[in-house]
Amino acid sequence: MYKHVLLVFLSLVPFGVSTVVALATWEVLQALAPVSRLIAVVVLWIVAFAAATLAFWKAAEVITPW
Amino acid sequence: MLAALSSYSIARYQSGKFASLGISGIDVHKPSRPVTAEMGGLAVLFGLAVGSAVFLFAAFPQDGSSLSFIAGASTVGLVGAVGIADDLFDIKQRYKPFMIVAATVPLMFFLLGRGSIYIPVIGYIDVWLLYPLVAVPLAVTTSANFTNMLAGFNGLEAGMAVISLGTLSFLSDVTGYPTVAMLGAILTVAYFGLLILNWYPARIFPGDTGTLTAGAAVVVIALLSKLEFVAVILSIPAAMDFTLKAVRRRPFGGRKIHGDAVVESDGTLKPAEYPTLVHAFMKVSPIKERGLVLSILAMQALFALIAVIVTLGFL
Repeated sequence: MYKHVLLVFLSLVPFGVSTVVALATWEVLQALAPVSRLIAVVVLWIVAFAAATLAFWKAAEVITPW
Repeated sequence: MLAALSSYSIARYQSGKFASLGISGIDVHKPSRPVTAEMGGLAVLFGLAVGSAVFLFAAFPQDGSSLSFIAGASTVGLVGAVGIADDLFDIKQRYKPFMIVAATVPLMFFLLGRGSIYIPVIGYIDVWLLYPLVAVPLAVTTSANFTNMLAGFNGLEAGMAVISLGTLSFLSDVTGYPTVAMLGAILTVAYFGLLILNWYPARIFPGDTGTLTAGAAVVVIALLSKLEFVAVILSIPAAMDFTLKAVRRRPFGGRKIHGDAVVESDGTLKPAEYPTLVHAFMKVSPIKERGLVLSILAMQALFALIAVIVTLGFL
């Protein structure tokens, strides 16, 4: 049971990581026009989210009992 | 109250009638594999119609916000109609997004004058016509399909809809959109009416009518009350499931190759060998269907809590 609770809280990681990456990108890309800046941030958010979600799956595999 | 009652009554009628009419599916996550009525989302649409009619007759808003209610309810209803067509005629996956985009026209028309998007920390960003013409249909289609994919367990889809729509209704109200909040509240209680019969062991499944409608409803309420980021936060569990299925050598082909999770004689679910969100929960420790659904609903509730904290923090 505790492993399922752990996984519920681990699911926060993809959202947290991708949001931090997106906010950092927004600060770095100040020279771009707002729409281009937004598109760049959204693309990087998606990439970071996908990478962190795959890491979430790997974590589930590591703690698997099957 | 009336919406919940109508939704529950219709779902109850459907659960007895639809299985004999052949509008049914096999509950593959039970050892006995019972045949269960499908298309419970129809009851939600009925609840939406009754609730909307009563609200508009009894308390027609005089400040022009009634138009937002009608645009939102129309879009949700039209997406529901796409779901009905899908449940009855099994529409090909490649046509569905276009049909959902067509269903968003009332909302696109209503939001034609809006040209900026709000993101907490960053602030307002002007995107002009990209908002109504690109962001609105894209968001509704994406959310509807996300919700349609993270499904298949008793109480999961209806439970997630109740949590998401309940949260959005509350936040719409506190951010100054009471009419939109009322639309959200009607949908929340309509899904609650369905959830009573969809909860383990289910007497009816929501079907594509229920899942597509839920995904569209979340985005519609969020867009109408300028809470786009809340819709993103509430979609995270479904987005994680989508990502796990999509980022593969054969995107979305896992089920075709490996099949469904296997149910053991004691009801424990053994995951199929491909990544999905529900399989992650099945992998870490033995779990039965009810426990799995409660885990995913806890995850959804956690993201709902984050959405509330972020929204109230940036009010």
